[in-house]
Amino acid sequence: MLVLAAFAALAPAAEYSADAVRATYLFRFSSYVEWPEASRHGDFLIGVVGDEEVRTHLERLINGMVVDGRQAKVRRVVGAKDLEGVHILYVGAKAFRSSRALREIAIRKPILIVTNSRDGLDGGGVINFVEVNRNLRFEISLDAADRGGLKIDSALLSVAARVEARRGKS
Amino acid sequence: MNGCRKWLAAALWAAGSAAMAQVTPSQTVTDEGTGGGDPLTRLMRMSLEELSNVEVTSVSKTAQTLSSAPASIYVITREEILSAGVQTVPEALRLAPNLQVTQFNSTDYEITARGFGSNREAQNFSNKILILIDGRSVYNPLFSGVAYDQLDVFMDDVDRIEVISGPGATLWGSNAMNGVINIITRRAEDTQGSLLRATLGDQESGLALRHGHAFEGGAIRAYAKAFDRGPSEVAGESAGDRWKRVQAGVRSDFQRGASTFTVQGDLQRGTLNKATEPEVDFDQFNILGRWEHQGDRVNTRLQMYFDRTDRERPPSGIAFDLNSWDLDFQQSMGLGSRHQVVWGIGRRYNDYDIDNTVTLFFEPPSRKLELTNLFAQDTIKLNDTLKLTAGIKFERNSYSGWSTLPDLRLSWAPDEKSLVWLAGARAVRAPTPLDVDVRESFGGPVLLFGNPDFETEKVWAYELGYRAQPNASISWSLSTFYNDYEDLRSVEGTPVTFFPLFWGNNIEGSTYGVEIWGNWQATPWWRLSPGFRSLHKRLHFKPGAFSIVDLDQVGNDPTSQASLKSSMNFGRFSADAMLRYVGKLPSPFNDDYTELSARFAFQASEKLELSLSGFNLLDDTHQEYVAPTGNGIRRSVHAEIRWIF
Repeated sequence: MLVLAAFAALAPAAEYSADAVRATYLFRFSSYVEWPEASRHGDFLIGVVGDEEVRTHLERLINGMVVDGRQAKVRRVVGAKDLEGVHILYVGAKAFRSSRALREIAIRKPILIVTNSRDGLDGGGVINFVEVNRNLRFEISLDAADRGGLKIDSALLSVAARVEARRGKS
Repeated sequence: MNGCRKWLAAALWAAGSAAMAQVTPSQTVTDEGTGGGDPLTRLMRMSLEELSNVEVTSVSKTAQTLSSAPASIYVITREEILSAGVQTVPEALRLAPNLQVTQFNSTDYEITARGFGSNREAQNFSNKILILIDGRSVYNPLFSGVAYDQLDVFMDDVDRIEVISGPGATLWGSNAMNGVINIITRRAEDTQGSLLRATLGDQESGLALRHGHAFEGGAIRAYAKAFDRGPSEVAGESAGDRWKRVQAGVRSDFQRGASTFTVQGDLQRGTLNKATEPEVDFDQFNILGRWEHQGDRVNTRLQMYFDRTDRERPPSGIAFDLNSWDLDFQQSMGLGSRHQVVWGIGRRYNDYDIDNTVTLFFEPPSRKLELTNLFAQDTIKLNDTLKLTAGIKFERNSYSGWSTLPDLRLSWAPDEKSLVWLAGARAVRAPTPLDVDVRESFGGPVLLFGNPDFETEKVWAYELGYRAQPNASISWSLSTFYNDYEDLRSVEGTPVTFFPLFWGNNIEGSTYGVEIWGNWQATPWWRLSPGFRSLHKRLHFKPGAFSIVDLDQVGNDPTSQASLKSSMNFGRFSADAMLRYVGKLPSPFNDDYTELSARFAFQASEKLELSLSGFNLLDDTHQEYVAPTGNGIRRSVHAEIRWIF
């Protein structure tokens, strides 16, 4: 039996599930990213591909929240048409492979693509979640951010576990 | 978005303000919906730094952060293992400040917590600590110790090593008298893709390859590795010893509904060379199956394993075949709002056959040993800050019958950042063939007899601990302990003739000490982790004891030990070092020593890491145990390539 399981009931505080922390991050990223002028109207939309858990947490926590004076909402994304008006797109780990076509469309839009896969940044992710030492951290690709016309605040970069530098002009 | 607004937002979150709705600049977030103290709300109030330090679990609904376990636990993380550059499990265990690791020669280690770390002169091995790999015990039931030269895992696939100092008998059973070490490997879905590690050094070299593959509903990985370590030193010359080992294994985890299945196994073959003695060959094979079911209220786990070890032509140990079968069932459930109950039942068969020699033999040379246990533990929430854990295990072994192993722990969490715990527990070490059946001689008459009336060694262990994380960059833990031992094994003689000797249970007394360690994230790129432990023994012989050998026969332990770890990260470069001090050993005397290990790594690309590691850098050789039992341990360096493809 593992120690963690053995003392399972002794937590003074509730445990944070990785999905809840992911959801929190997703929403908080909104404060550290600047979207191009064109996408600063309408509702602030967080799209989720294939991760029920994270979507449920997100819906709970952003209920009634306002981002930049706009109502925050969560949208379940299935196809390319659902990407319209989305600011942040979260691609769940299990949906990563199957969402390749969708990601390729999203890459060309001003969307902050957040992934949770080993190859996340190679697969179009601007931000990719990684677990380090039982902590949930994230890595950032500056190239991917540039591609989407997104400006990432240095405060976010400083907390990132890893920042993938720009590979130069291409 | 500008910096000013962002700082304001951060400040508001940090303060946990619920009044943000009234002061919303355009970029901040208003909190109208959620309220109270639910986890999501707490997460929302954290700064990004705090979020990145939150411990998360993906495993279980009731699992929790380690900071709330009311025991002295140090977790060696995967990152810590990898950034130390260690090639073997015993070297990885040096990273735990609550363990005492002694290296005797190229192949041979003894590891313990809170003392009793062996005294080879008195035929005593480190027999009061239990080691498990993914729930499989690697404690050897023949001599009640661990064959550290056979202990191996694929380092990159280790998730963590949980090191508990202090008894864990209620959960883990007898022999978890002074500590438990849980080596936990990652689930197969977390080890996807291919990984190659090639190591070349003046002492240690190795090659390790793993491939992981996902399938619908699960994943599988397979690995193979080879390891070779060169000699230690005697009187300035090579001792000619050598440690060679190959190992391969498979693990698959898959999910069907609320059930998770794990099947894993390893195959090992190794050779130990000692210059003056014949070669030791060993083969080991194990296979384990586990079913875990996560219900709404009840979690169930059923685990089975088979383990076979075959060790041949030993220089000084015993040659044997050993088969172990183990079956273990556990359930945990919440009862009402205050109780969390865990109970379990387990049974193990050990079937062994020892190759007797003229100088070392066992009577009988083969036996079937059984170990049966039943336990239950209840964690009772007394109020918002106070919890009581009460557990008891009944365990029966073939030699000494039933033992009762109670455990009582009270923990107080005045806030979410600190925990105080008080514990009292009883643990035992069950007799083994080495205690009961052994005969030793120099070829003539028997000089040492096992004792058919050998009793379990017993301890009542008391602990007071405090753990705190005052802010995001500092955490520390302090444990103090007082252990009261009874019936420890002693060497007894025959009146008048002195010989033959036999084992007795005539040592008792207490030990006490302190364990303290901490982490300080001095800057975002630099972490310092100091550790210290002290151990004092107040043992005595019972009246009527023969006291041929001094009291340190139960373990030749240092009274103090300290370490300082430093970990620096500069983008693609990282530098890690550990300085360790081990105090002198009393009898036989071994001087204190200080040693340093260091590793520099360069992340050439996402897929490729190059590193250079050095061990025992301060001296050409150093002695962790006095000659002739211990040899000089050489300085060593190695270069390593780690390639993900």
